[in-house]
Amino acid sequence: MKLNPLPPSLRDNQRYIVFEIISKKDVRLDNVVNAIWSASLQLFGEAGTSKFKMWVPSQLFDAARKKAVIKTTHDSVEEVRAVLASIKEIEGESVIFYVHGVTGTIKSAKNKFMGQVDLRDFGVKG
Amino acid sequence: MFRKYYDLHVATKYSYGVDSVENVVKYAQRLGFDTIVLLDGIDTMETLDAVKKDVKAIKSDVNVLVGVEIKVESPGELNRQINRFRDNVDILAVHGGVFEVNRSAVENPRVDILTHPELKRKDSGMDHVMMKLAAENNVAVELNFREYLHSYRKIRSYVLSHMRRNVMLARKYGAHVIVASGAESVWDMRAGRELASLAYMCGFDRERAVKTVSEVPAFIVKRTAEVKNHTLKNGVKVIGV
Repeated sequence: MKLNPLPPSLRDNQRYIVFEIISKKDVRLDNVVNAIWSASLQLFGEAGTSKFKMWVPSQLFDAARKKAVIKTTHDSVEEVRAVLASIKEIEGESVIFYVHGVTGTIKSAKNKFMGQVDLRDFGVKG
Repeated sequence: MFRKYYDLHVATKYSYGVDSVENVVKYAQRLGFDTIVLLDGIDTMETLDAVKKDVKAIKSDVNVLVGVEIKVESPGELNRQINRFRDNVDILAVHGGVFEVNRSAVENPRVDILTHPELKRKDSGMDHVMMKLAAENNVAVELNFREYLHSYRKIRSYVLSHMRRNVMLARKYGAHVIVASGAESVWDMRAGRELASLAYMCGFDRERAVKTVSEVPAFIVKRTAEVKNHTLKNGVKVIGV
């Protein structure tokens, strides 16, 4: 048996934080995700991190521009920002996490900050 | 309207930093800053002139101001250094940490910023009397991001709790609080909004936290320029025109 999806009124309000990783070398997404999780567990602990409901969608990782999106709940955006700011290095390489912006939907995150235009907005089908 | 972000404490290779002025300004532009202050622990006029020369040579969208962070062990020495540097720099900060120095820094209206008053201390370095003086004399108290970034576990929790206490007192007495990166290298720098998250964790609400990296530093920079150009005297406040 699968769980029924929650009705929209009971779901969390989500926010998508679009960030860029400034570093000299290329980064791999799994290392980024590990760094975020360990920083969050170090700063807020297990109980604190459980409230953030973090998720880094892999299909939105732009390896060339080193941009990614992290999903969280609308009332823990500041905490997640603090987590991102507290990351010093990934795999021994110094990094700066630079947040470009926060959006309410994946679509606007793509449009505004990832430079991906949704062609369906212009009537193109498919 | 876009908000302008300020970082009032970045070090270069002229003191304890490692990166050149050019590199620091490049990264500041990348992180979207409007103004940065090169706040070096300089003790000679020659070094100060060298920094100013470097700043003049740079063409960038970022406003670059030159400041000095005075590091002394005794209040007498502090006053001597303030007299020496005050008219030659845009921002004058005092390297906090020693109790007597913290105290005499907040008593002096010619000081703009007291950096990390809780550095290497077992307490927060400021009590309610000192915070009241800081509010009267317009001395801003800095929350240093580098101190938080480079500490971990037990030490970081102490640093945060000391900062939280300073923020509580500053809110009560109306003293200015700013967040600055205190960056030793460009990799310690963070964008303005990320620096504000430190203020948020120390007990400011979201709007006030953002003001610690935008409106409050803007006020400090503007006011210091007015005092420097002799349009405003220390201890005088413009209420209306």
